[in-house]
Amino acid sequence: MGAYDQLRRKLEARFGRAGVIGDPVGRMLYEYDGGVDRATPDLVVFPQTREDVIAAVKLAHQAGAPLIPRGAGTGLSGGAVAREGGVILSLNRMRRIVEVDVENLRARVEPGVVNLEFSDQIAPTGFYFVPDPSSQKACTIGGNVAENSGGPHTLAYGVTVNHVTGLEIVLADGAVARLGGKTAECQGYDLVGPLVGSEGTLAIVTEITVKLTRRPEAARTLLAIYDAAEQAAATVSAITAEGIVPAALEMFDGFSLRAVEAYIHAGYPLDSAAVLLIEVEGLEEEVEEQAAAIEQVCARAGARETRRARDEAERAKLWLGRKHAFGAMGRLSSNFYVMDGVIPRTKIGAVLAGIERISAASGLRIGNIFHAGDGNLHPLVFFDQRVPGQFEAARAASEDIIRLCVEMGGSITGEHGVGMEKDGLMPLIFSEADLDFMRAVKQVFNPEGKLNPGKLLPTYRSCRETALAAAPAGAAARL
Amino acid sequence: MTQDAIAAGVEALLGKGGVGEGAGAACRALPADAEQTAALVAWARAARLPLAVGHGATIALAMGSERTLSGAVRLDLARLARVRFYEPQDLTIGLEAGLTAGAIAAELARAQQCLPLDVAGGDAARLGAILAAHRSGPLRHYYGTVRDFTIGIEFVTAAGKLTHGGGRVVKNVAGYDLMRLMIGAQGTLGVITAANFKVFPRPAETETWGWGLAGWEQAEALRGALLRHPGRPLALELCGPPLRAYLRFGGGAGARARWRRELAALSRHAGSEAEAVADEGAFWREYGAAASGAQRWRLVAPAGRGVAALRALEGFAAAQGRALRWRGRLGLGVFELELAPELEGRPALDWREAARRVHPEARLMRDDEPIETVLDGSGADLALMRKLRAAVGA
Ligand SMILES: Cc1cc2nc3c(=O)[nH]c(=O)nc-3n(C[C@H](O)[C@H](O)[C@H](O)COP(=O)(O)OP(=O)(O)OC[C@H]3O[C@@H](n4cnc5c(N)ncnc54)[C@H](O)[C@@H]3O)c2cc1C
Repeated sequence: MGAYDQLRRKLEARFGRAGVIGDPVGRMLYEYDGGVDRATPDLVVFPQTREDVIAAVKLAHQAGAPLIPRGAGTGLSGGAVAREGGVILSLNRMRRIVEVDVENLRARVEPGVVNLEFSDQIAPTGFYFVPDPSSQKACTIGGNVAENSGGPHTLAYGVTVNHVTGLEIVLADGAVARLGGKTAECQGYDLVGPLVGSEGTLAIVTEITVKLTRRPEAARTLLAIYDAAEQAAATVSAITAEGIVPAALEMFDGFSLRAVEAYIHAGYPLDSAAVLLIEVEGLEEEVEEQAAAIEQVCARAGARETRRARDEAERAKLWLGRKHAFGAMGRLSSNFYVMDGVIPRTKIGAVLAGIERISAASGLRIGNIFHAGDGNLHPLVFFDQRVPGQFEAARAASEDIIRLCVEMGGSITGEHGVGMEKDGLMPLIFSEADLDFMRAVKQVFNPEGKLNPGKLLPTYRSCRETALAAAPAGAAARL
Repeated sequence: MTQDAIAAGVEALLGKGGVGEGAGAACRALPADAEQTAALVAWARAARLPLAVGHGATIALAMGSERTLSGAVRLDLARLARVRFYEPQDLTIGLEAGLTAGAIAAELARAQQCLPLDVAGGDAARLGAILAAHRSGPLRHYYGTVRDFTIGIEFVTAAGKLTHGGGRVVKNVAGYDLMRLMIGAQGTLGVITAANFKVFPRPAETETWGWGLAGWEQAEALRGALLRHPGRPLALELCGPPLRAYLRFGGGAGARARWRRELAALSRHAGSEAEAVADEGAFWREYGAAASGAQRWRLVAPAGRGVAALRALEGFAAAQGRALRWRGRLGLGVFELELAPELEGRPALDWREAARRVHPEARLMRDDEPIETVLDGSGADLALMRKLRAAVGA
């Protein structure tokens, strides 16, 4: 690793030996995130303050080393993986809640603050931070910002970008800028917008101003049970057609609900073909009216039964199945690949049928547990890494699913990000002009491309991308 | 190039129906679609002609630093007025920039849906102008602004390239969020030709109630009470003089009955009885209509400091012998102001300073303030914006 010896010494001089990882075993722990891609970083450094970040960024910049910001490493698209080697900037020790300002409905937090810990800590105020990724016990708010994360309850309230009004960022050369703030809008261009979801490719986020939302007074949680998956799918658009926007609307297919039920015992009927987990939030009277209307919609759409959680314990149990779904699925197979694609919600039935065909053709089992309300699919493709060729087959099947989503008018990612997993798929939905514009934006913030290289924008001419070239590039790109 | 030569050039590109009176500019170009818009922008750039992006009288903004209209081509997107797609069951719609808020509302009403485009200027406001200037109205309290519900955007870059960001689905994190970047950029990063939105079910029934407020303390108390209230009203407005507040809420019979029960407690904070607004529809239409020819400003403050900022500005205006009217989002700290007679020079600086003294983030901007003036300031954020403008703008 020679080239990094000098940088390592400089970083150790600034951060102490405990603040830097340079040994091969230690670095191996940072080879991956929650996804399937791997690459070994040359160094890992642990800043604790903004000044630490600036110092680390400047040293890496002087050395011309790639710099990869990292939160908790729960990302599912390889965003925090050092694709080209370099220095991982691990921000999970920056976990101060700087200010809770209820009067202005804002709080300022450092990027390493864990999502759920934040909402738990401010619970006594009666307010919370809306985005609730299923990984919220572990993932950081910095990671949420970088991925523009969603969660089961972002259907009615919007994803991370709708809940962030200000950012403090450190640029690739160590310069600091403050974008937006506590106000509802800022002067000039909205730079907070494109920074959220930029996956660490524009700047390092060192402080976040988030919106605080009043906790709803009441909630109703329903479990609608179906003998046919198409009926569950049809219910999704029927609910919105009724004029109701639930807080959450999640779907499990038969295969997945059985896997989850065997592990969690959340009460999902084992003989059903699909279930919908539906939640409405708001004023007591409001949720009562909406729950009643939803029950009727479900019945009309052919639900065998719709159960209502009678108390908080029952509600928690129903949700337990959703929150621990991936863990439960993990018991079925040594490996699975979590895909993330989006489709118009009216196409759920058609796409689920298409996924079944892909599953049959590839010989791999595919389960579906997803945010049905906004058409955000999460097919889980099961494979066994020990069997030669299975990983490649899983990847190919996943790409077929993404292609299907795009054909249906959808997108290649709804919340997990592009990362190094899908940069080659970007031309499926964006034309060269679109990508050029994004490159120009990146050039402004990260001119040398050393911040998280090889992510989000296509840079690699992989075999995947050449395969794509055969498809009409950017055909779907027109609005 | 002479005026005639410019008009001839535009006609050659866009055909007979594509050229009109310039109204101060050399001519008006009316492209029929996004491709023609791109061709026109590319042509104007090659001919070094300044381009003003305007939608009738609603807005006139320049692309490039050139702001004088004479010798410029005024780009009018009135003919880009197609609904590109509308999927009521998906709650999504694709709209061209020349459509008016009224036409959009009529289209969506067919399926009992809506887009909260309740901006000043009402039904006549064009989508392109609403997006370019990031306009919003009372319904922002519940729905947010166009930045929150635009899911895809199409624009022509300064180089004349048709470009897009986002897509057609309600959730999407592929690529940088160009929607938010282009919205509010006043056409300086590109000309918006179309956008896709997530639409909303139209609330079945709504009600509006108003209070006459004795003073700023009551406004502050009402804001505080609603801040801690678990309900999510559609709108919470403060306007004056005379100082009044309005609360609008919707939902089923039970939800609305609950709100009506809450009014008693809220009225104690307001210091007066809540009165029902009889003809809601007419009331909100008129509420949004732009008034006099007074100078218009936008005040943006942290939500909890908006009333204090307004109060300071009212004092300032009174000391100057000027009349001030305001109207805005009490729960969000965003207000539209009208000041007469106009302020210029030193007093205008003091006026802006009066807001800042209430909170360092409280800002007053002229409603027609060109983005160049804003970007001229100091600060690392503005430096990044200038760089961005240079990289992708004219
Ligand atoms: C079981 C499970 C469930 C999940 N459920 C959801 C879900 O419901 N919804 C959802 O959206 N996601 C979900 N995810 C994905 C993941 O948890 C989110 O993307 C999360 O926001 C990542 O946060 P992190 O702190 O782990 O970030 P990391 O994985 O460490 O990093 C993610 C990206 O952010 C960048 N980054 C991190 N911090 C910063 C910073 N301070 N400045 C700049 N860039 C930074 C990194 O470079 C990387 O590109 C799930 C993951 C798992 C494993």
